[in-house]
Amino acid sequence: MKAKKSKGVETLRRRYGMAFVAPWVFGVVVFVLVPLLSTIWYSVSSVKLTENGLETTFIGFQHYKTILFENSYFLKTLPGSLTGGLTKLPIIVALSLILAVILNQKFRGRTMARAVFFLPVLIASSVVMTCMAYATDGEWSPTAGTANTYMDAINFNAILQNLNLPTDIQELLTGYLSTTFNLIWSCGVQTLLFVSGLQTIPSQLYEVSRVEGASAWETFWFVTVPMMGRIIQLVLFYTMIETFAKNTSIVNYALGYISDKLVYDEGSAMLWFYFMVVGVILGTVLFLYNRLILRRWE
Amino acid sequence: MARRAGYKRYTRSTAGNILFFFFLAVAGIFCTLPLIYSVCTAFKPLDELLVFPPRFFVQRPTLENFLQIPALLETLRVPLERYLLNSVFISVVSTVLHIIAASMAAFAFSKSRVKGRTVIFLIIQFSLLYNSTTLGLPQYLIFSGLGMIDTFWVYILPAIPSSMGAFLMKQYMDASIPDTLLDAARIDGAGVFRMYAQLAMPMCKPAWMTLILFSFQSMWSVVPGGTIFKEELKTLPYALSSIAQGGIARAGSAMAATVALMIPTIIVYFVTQSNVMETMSTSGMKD
Repeated sequence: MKAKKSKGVETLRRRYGMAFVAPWVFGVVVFVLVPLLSTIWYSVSSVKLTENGLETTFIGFQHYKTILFENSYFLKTLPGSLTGGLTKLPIIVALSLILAVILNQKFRGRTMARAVFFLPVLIASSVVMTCMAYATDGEWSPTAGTANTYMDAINFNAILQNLNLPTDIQELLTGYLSTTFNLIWSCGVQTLLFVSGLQTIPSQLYEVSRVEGASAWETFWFVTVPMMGRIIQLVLFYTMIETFAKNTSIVNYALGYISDKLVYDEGSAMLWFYFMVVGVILGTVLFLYNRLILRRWE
Repeated sequence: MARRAGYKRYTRSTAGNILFFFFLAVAGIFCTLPLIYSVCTAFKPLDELLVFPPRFFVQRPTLENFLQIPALLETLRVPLERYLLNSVFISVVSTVLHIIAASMAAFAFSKSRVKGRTVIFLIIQFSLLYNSTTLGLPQYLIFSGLGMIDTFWVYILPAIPSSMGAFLMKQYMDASIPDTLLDAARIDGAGVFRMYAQLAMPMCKPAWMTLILFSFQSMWSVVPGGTIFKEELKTLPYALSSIAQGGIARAGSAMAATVALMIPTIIVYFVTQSNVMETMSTSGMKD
């Protein structure tokens, strides 16, 4: 679109830039980076919780060897978590784009409709989910409330049972429904990003395509979608973070090691290994998208 | 802008419209069902909660579940208002600080050549993968090193540098604030801080309104982890979730508490929503 990006020096001098990022970077370093680096350290050492605090001794890549060659569960779960995230990705992006396009039209009750589709994001906080899991399942589970598992926590099948449908129909429905349900519940933020993006498309473009006689289908593919290029990139990134890093069985498995068994070293090794793989996939997807698709649109 | 009222931009046939709105309706049902269910359950009297087979809708709505909440919380050592006050304080303070820190950082990342900004930004993106449980132990060690265990800081400080906020703001500023506009402002004698406060911030109001919503939503539901031991520093969600631990007879009150917890977030949504979703201001430039 524009070639004049990043002439930043003229816009904002460097020292001001430093001052502006300082508070935030300080926070990131202390509360994110240092803890992150410590988990790397944990993953290559043997960690013991003692009365005097934490005792770590460096042991090299032993934990990585253990999880890759001895822990059969980890390797068995790995492909599933990755392909699961990858198959959800295009569906979520497409679904939220369609929803956003519909929600961007003028119709009565649009404000309400938008609120409805943002509801999952609003109410899907951990405590709400904990209480809901409790009330639908009838049993209390303290782990249900961790943000990782909130998707599982809303026991949609239990809600469905309360509708008193015939058993056959119910069984048929539950399979498809819980999948659909999870997908739609993952679309809230993405839809929001798309709707706000759609507002930035100049209406002249639609005028032109209408005058030129383009069909609605063509207008969608040749005006709306290319103009959403940057937003699609953002949505891809956000969705991958959500689908890969939150609530995948492998992450939950590793977190179980950390928070339940208190095995910090091996748990950290699992997470680092998994996130390295995810980082590579994330980078590849975004790179391919930029090279093959975004570049043509711009 | 000669669009007629009610003219649909994307489909131009009745069949298409029906299909679109059918899709909208189905997806909408999926989104609202859990909420309707919790609201219904919150108003169910005890005998309806225990009936088998369970019913979805409430037959004889009652306020009993809501009225029971204060009594159920009486066993806690601290009055309910204290938890409420804690939650409000934490949510508001950390949301404000987060928006300021994230938007300033995003402004610099987007519009200045800070040394190593690409690297910093890569690290941010990678750190998004990590969640709080993973970092729990090292963060605890840092807090205890800083002597902050059992203070409000453990809620507020980690929320300020939340990566997602800076990430979204930067993306938004890249797209919506033209460098030429800032240059023009500078020629007119505006300082950097003025550019940020009077140009950049008003222009990306939708972005930070969204962030207010996200940040409030996550902070409102914060439950103390292993870094808070004093009862009077704990949050409302913590107090309310303790109701749910009381067994099946309290299912109604647990749902009532859940519904009550949702209300502030939904209010914040409607307050910020008009800014989030509605037309963004034009950049003021002719490209």
